[in-house]
Amino acid sequence: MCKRIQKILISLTTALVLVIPLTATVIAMVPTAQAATETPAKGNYPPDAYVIRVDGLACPYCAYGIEKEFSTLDGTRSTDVNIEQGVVVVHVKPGTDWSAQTIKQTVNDAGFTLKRVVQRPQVH
Amino acid sequence: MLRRLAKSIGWIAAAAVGLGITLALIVWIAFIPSRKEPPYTLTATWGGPGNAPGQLNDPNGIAVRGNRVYVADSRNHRVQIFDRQGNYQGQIAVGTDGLKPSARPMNLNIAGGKLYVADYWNDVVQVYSLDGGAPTLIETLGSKASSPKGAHFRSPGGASALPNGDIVVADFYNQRVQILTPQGQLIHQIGKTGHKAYISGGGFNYPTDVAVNSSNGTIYVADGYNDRIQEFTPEGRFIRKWGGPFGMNIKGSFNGWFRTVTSVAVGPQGNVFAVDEENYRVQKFTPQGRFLTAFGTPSKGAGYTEEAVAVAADGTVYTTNLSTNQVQVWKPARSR
Repeated sequence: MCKRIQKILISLTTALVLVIPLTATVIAMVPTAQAATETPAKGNYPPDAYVIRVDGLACPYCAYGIEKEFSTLDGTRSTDVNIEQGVVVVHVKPGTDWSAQTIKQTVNDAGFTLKRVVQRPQVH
Repeated sequence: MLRRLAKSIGWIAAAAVGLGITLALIVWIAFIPSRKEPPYTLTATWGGPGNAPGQLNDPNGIAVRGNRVYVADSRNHRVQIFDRQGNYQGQIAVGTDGLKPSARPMNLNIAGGKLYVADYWNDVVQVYSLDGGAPTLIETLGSKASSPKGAHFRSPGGASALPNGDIVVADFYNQRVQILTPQGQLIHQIGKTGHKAYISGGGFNYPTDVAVNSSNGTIYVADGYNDRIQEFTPEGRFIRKWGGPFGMNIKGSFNGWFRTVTSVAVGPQGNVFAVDEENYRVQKFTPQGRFLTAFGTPSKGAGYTEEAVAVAADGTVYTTNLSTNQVQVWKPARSR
C-alpha cells in the first residue's frame, strides 16, 4: 500500500515538474487580451460618427493606417482610433451616407478586417 | 479483458503525455534563451502629454546624436529637439523647409550626419542635414510628383542610410524595403511589392523600421507583424532572421520572442536593440541575433509603453513611451 502511494506521489511530482514548461509555453504563445476590453455602450458614442469594430489593430501604425484611409473618403471630418478596444470612430459631415461595402473596402485597404458597424451617424 | 484494455489505454495516454512533455522541453531549451546581461535601469524621463514645446502627443520615433535627442511628435506634426538632459532646444515643424502638412513623423534615424524622417501620412522620407545649427532640409524622397517610378512609398515607417550614402526605407504598406541612391533612384528592392511573406527570409509583413550598422553596412529590418528582425547585407542579400522559433512569425513573450516590432537601432558595439511593443519592452541582441537582455515599462492599463528606441555613442538607450508621452533614458546596470 505504502509503495503504491509512493509511486503515485513520484508520478505526480514528475508530471508537475515536466508539465510546468509546457503550460508556460502555451501561455506565452496565447495572445494578450488587448482587444478584449469592453466597448462603451452604444448611446455613449458621438451622434455624428460612424462607429466600427475592427480586428487586428495592434499599434499606432494600424491606427494611422485606418485614419489615413478614411481621410480619403468624402465626408470625413476626423477619425479616432481606440487600439485596445478595436473601435474606430469616424466623425462625418452632415448628410454623409456610406454604404456597408464602402466601409468594408476602406478597412480592407488599411489592411484590417471589418468586424461590424456598431453605429451609423444619427444626425443628418 | 477490460483490465487489459484499460492498461493499454493507460500506456498510450502516458506515451502521448510523455511525447508532449518532451517536445515542450525541447522548445523550452532550444528556443528560450536565458538572459546574458542584467536589464538596463531607467534613470530619467521627460515630456508628458500636450502640444506645448517639450510636450508630446504620440512619440513614435527617436534618434540621438552628440548632445541632441530628436523625437517624432507624431500627432503634433513635428520633430522636437532636446538636449540629453531633456531641455527643449527647438523643433522641425510643418513649413516650406520643414515637414509637409499633416505630417506624421514615425521612426527617426541618423546616419552620416543626416536625420532621416519617415512621414507616414505624406508617403515621403525627408532628409535633414544636422551639420551646423538648426536641421536643414536637404531633400524629400518618395513623393509621386518628384520621385522616379518604383521609388514611391506607401506609409514609410523608418529610413536610414548605408555608409556609402545610399538610403534604406521600410515601406510599410508596400511590404518591402527599398535601397535608393541619395537622389532617390531605386537600386534594389527587398520583398515583393504589396505581398506579405510570413515565414521565409527576404519578405515582410508590415516592416516598421530599419537600422544600419555604420561600420559594415549591415541592414536590420523590424519586420513588424512578423514579430522578428531580419538582417541583410548592404546589397540587400538576406543573412538571417530571429524572433521566436526560426523567426517564422510565431509570437510570444519569452526572451528573444516578439509581439509586434516597432523600432530597431544599432548600439555602439554593433548590438541590436528592438522595441517589442505588445510585450512592453526593449530587447537587446548581439549583431548576430543572440538574445542578451530585455527591459521596459509594464503597462498600467493605459496603452502600450515603449514604442521607439535609439542608442547614444556612450551606450545610453533612449526610448519613447506612448502611454505617458514621455522620453525615457536607460543605462546599463553596471554603470549605475
